[in-house]
Parts: sequence; C-alpha cells; structure tokens
Amino acid sequence: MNNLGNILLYITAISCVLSVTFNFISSKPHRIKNHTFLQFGFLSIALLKLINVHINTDYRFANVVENSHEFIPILYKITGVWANHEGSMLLLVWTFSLISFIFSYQSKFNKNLTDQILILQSFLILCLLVIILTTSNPFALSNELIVTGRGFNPLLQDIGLTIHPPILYLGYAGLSIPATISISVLLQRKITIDNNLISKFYIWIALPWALLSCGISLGSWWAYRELGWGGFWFWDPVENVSLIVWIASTISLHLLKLSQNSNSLYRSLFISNVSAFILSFFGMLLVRSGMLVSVHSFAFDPEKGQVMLAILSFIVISSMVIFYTRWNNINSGKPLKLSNITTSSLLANIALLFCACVVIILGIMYPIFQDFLYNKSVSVDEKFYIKTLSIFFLPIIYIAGVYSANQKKYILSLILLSALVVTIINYVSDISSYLNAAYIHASIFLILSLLKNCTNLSKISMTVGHLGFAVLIIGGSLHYTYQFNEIISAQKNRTVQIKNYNITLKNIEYKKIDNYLSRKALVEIANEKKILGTLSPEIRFYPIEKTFTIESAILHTIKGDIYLTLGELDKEKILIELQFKPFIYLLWTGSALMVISIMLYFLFRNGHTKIQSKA
Amino acid sequence: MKRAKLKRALIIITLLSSISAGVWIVMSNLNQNIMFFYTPTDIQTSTIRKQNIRVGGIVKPHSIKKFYKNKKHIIAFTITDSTNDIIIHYQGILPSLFREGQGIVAIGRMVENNIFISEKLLAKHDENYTPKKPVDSKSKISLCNPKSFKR
Repeated sequence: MNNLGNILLYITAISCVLSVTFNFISSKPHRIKNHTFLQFGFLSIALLKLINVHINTDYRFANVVENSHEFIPILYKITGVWANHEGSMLLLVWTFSLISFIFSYQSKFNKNLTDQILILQSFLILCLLVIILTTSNPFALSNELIVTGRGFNPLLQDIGLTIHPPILYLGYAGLSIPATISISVLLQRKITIDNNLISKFYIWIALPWALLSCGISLGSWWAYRELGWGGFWFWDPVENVSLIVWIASTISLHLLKLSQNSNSLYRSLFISNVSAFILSFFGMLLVRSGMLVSVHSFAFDPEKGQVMLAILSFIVISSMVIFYTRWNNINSGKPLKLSNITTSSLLANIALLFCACVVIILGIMYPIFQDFLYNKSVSVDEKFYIKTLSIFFLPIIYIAGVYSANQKKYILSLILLSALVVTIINYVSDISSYLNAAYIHASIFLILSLLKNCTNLSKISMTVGHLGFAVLIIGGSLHYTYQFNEIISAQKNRTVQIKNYNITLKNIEYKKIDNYLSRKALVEIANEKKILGTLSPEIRFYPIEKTFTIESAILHTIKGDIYLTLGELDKEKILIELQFKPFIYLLWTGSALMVISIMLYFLFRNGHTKIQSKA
Repeated sequence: MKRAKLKRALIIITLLSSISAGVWIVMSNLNQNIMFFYTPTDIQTSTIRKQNIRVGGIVKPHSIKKFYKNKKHIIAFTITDSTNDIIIHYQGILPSLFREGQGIVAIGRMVENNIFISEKLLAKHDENYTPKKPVDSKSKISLCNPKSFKR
C-alpha cells in the first residue's frame, strides 16, 4: 500500500486530463460534475493517506523522515503534514478540488457555463498535480536507512499553524473561481453580460476575500504569540505576497460593486478577477522557488521554480490570448458617470488600491532585480513599505469615509469632529508622530461616517466590513505610537519598576513535558494599586530538534497586552523582556469584523434582495 | 474640436506628470530604505562602517560568551562563512532557534576591532534544519551557504 498515495494522485490527474480533453472532442461536455466529485474524493483520500502516514510516523516516506519524529504529540503530527513544502502542495490542490466541488453544487450559473468553469478548474488542478508529481511529491519514498526522523520545527508546533494554512489556502483556491468564471464567460459565444450575471459573481469573490482576511490575520496572530518578538507584521516576502493577493481580491470586490451600481466596467472586472488569481499563483512561484528567500520555511529549489514558471507563463499567456481574441464579446456597458460622489470615490479607491499593490510588488521584486543586475544582495526595509504605502492608504481611508458620509454637509463636520477626538487623545497621551496622528484621524473619520449607515440593514455587511478596516488601522497606529519595551535582569523576590508596572520574579520552575524540557519563570505584575496577574514566560528546549524556543506569556488588559519573554539564565539573575503592546486586540477585532461582515452578508442576503425589489 | 483636443492633452499631461512624480517618490523611498546583505568575507574585504547592514553566517561552535559591560548583559558570539569570521555583540533576548551551527542574520553596524554591534537577530526557521545529522545536499544549501539567508 506504499503506492496508494501516488496511484490516487495519478488517477486524479487522469480524471482531469479526461475532463479537459472531452471538452475539445465533443461540443457537449458530459458528466463533468462526476469528474469534479471524483477528483475531490481521490484527493481527500490521498490527503488522509498522508495524514495517516504522518500519524504512524512511517519512515519509509521521505516526507516523514525529513519533517517528523515519533515523539511529537499527535496533533502536531497531523499539522506537520502541511508545515512542509510537499505536504502543503497536496493541501493546496485538495483545497482547489474542495472549492470546485462546492461550486459544482452551489453554482447559480446556467449548465453550459458551470460545466465550462468546472473544466477550467480541472485544468488548474491538473497544473498543480503536474507540479506535485514532477518536483514535490509528498509520497516519495525515502532512500536512506534512517531509524528516526529529523523532527518538526518547534516554532510550528502551535495551534496557530494548525488552522492558518488550510484557511489561507482555501482563500487562494477560492480566487480561482472568479477567474475561471471570467474566462468561461469570455469563451462562451452566446452570452449577454448584464447585471444579472455579474451579481452571481458576488459570493465567489466575497468568500475567498473573507477566507484570505481570516487566514492572514490568523498567521499574524500566530507570529505575535509564538515567535516571541512581539510583532505582528514583518514585511517578509511571504507576508507581502499574501497582502498583494488580498489587495487584488479587495479590488475585485469593489469593482464588482461599482459595475453593479453603474452597469459598466465589466471588462475591468474580468481582468481584475483573472489577475487576482494569477497574482496568487505568482506569489506561490516567488516564495517556493528560491527566487526570494524569506524567514518562512519553504524549500528553495530551482527545479521546482522551473516547472511552476512554465505553468504560470502558460496560464498568463493563454488568458491574455483569450482576452485578446474575445475582447469584443464583453460589452463594456454604459459609460461611467463620475458626477456623483459614490461612483467617483469608489473608482478613486480602486485606483489607489491598485497603486498600493504595484508598490508592494515593486518592493518584493527589487531584491531580485538587484541580485540579477548588480549581483548584490539587498533587502527592503519596512520603512519603505510604511512610508510609501501611507501615500496611498491615508487617502483610501478618507475616501472610504467620504463614500459612506456621502453628503458634503456631513463630511466637513465629521472631519472637524474626528480632529477634536485626535486632539483629546493627544492631550491624554502624546501621539508624537504626525503619520500616526493622521492615520488615527482618518480612521475615526471613517468610523463616524459609517455610523450614519448603521441603522440601514441592507448595508450592514458593508458597514461592518469598513468598520473592521478602520478598527484595524486605529489598532495598528495606537500600537506603534504607545508601545515600549525594556529588558531587565531579574532576581528572585526583587521588584523592578518599568513605567507604571512593578515586576516581581517569584520563582523559576523546571519541567519535562511531552517532547520538550521547560524552564518557566513565575512573574507577578502589579501597578500602583493592585496585582494585575501572574505570568509565566517559558523557554523550551526540544532535544530531538536540538533547539530552543521562546514561549511568550501575555497578560491582556484594557490598555493592551503586557508581553513577557524569558532570556538567558546567569547565576542568580534571569533576563526578562517586557513589551507593552497597547490596544493590540483592536487588530484582531478589526480582522474579525471584516470576516464577520461577509457572514452578515449571507445572513441578511434575503432581506437585502427583498429591500431591493421593493425599491 | 480644438477645445476637446486641448482637454485631452491636458488630461494626458497631468496623468503623465502624476505618474512620473509617483514613480520618483517610490524609487527614492526604495533607494533610501534598502539594506545591504554581507557575508563575513565581504565585510573583511570592504570598509563599511556606521551604516546599518545585515550580516549572515553560521554561529561558530563554542563561541558563545556572556559578559557585563556598563551593567548591560551582553552576548558575544562568532559567525562564520567558513572562510572568515566576525564577532557579534548582542544585547537582549536571543531569538527562538538560536544555537551553535544555526544560520542567523544580524542587523546592525560595524564598529572598531572587527566587532559587529547587532540590534536585532534573526534565526532562520527552515523546516529542513538538520544540525548534527548526516548532511545531504539539500540541507547543505540551507545550512552552510550564508547567501541563502539573505531576505
């Protein structure tokens, strides 16, 4: 049964080839739904097989030898499946098949179009299978006689990694649906593009957007808790790639709204849908081929890059050819009227988001250019991203505020009101940075202008989504304004004061747990009035992997998080770093609100359509 | 007719000028905010001082020392690219996965006596870390070639 996984992958590939070629042989694609079902079934079994192999720690498989060990807790044996390149590719192709499977049952498009879309989805699954079978096969057998595995990166042994990749991959895979819908509509000869057709796009664009938001923020949450550095965004290539895909998806979402409102811009919508998907594929190429090296753990192997590059260029060129030959199939709709605030502000924000996306791509690609042209290794500092993106994101927030305020008389008073709020905040505690003050002002303006719509149930999804965005920005700015950190060398039962906090080291404990040894410090934190709580930052030593990790301990207060990490032990003294993370929970709240906004859309969708039909 | 032409020309001019201004701002920002990556050999052969840079290499076995300087707890260790070494001083909490034989990237600047003062240390979290196991060709890349730690 060693070959079960491989056999399943080949059968799925054959099923994909069949469903794609049928389309060319006969004009009537038949039973494509069954193929989608089969692909989903086989890939699920293949994934389960890999999980099974990992649970049993079967050292006949190279993937297990390189990434696992028999002493690892069972939960992390399972999540270890997608913590390495080969396994995560299998998870990715499985999410593609899951999304196609769901689409085949939930599609509201007519049968011809649905079949066409499913054929294209099969083709994409085939592409991924080619990558897996040629260069990154998780079922490859090990040719070494090794009695134990190499272990599993202890940093990844965390609940954050259990759920973050599957959700993120579902988002990436979900982006393929709007892309294949667009291409299929282009390929269909007799189809009229109107608002009715466009409105069916919404769920398939909104769903991956929500999944991406959820996946990215979960990743950020994991980094904050687990890496022990207290940050949440590092401007690392892998993070930036996910950010450009998220922005591209946001552009699609807003373009859809704009085309629905104005019956125009259908062509731009189609291009944006396809490019969002291509960007996600391009990101995969960048971070998995070794062109860019990031701190994230992915293999770098030029051979993998070549296959991915070949497939990516095929997808890009073929979609460009389809767009070129079928350009006139899409009616461009009515010409856009820029006279009212709604349309023009939406359009302006889409343009600004596009610019922001280009800037991040430039930042990601710049080291590659430098390496290629001058043979110099450089990295782009986070200051570049913060400075340059502010040029675009500040206006984006203001324009979003203008969009929701809608009337000129409100806009001015709301801007003044939020300026007042910023002054009060500045009076309570000095903001010091103009940029942060501007961000806080802009987001308060956005929140205030959203309040105007909060009673309107048909706009609830939009209101909550934008509220989430504003809360996220405020959280980030307040965090950067008021954060501080200090390192103390603590002694038992001595109190050290940092700002308003009294820190007392109570005890140091040593324990042996599961697959690691732990050194824990019990630290009491108090302010002038009362004891806030006891924290136990920890250092873990993993003997199998011969490495240690820092486990932070976090005390949540209304003002923000108190974040403790433990350092070196030196005779009687131990190093403790205290970081104060003000209002960091606003970041998670904001992201959660953005995800909830899409759920609210599905909840109130029926009400939404009723209200529209009444009007 | 003439007016329409004039209007179009005006639109094109404003678009072009704003695009070029945008590109100029972005590029100048980019040039100000890049950080060069060096190996210990690069540093020995050049004279980069006071400028913030990144240095990458492997932490040399038995080189980690702790001492106090001006009441600050300082950790000193040597990183190597197998031809040249550099001593790094770091004050603070070592990142997860830091150990002998681990590839790390230090951000900071060179001072006198070939000492590199690091403000931030990054340990690469690669899934194929195999410190004391038989080294195959794959992990050789990730462990012994400091160029692969550039970011």
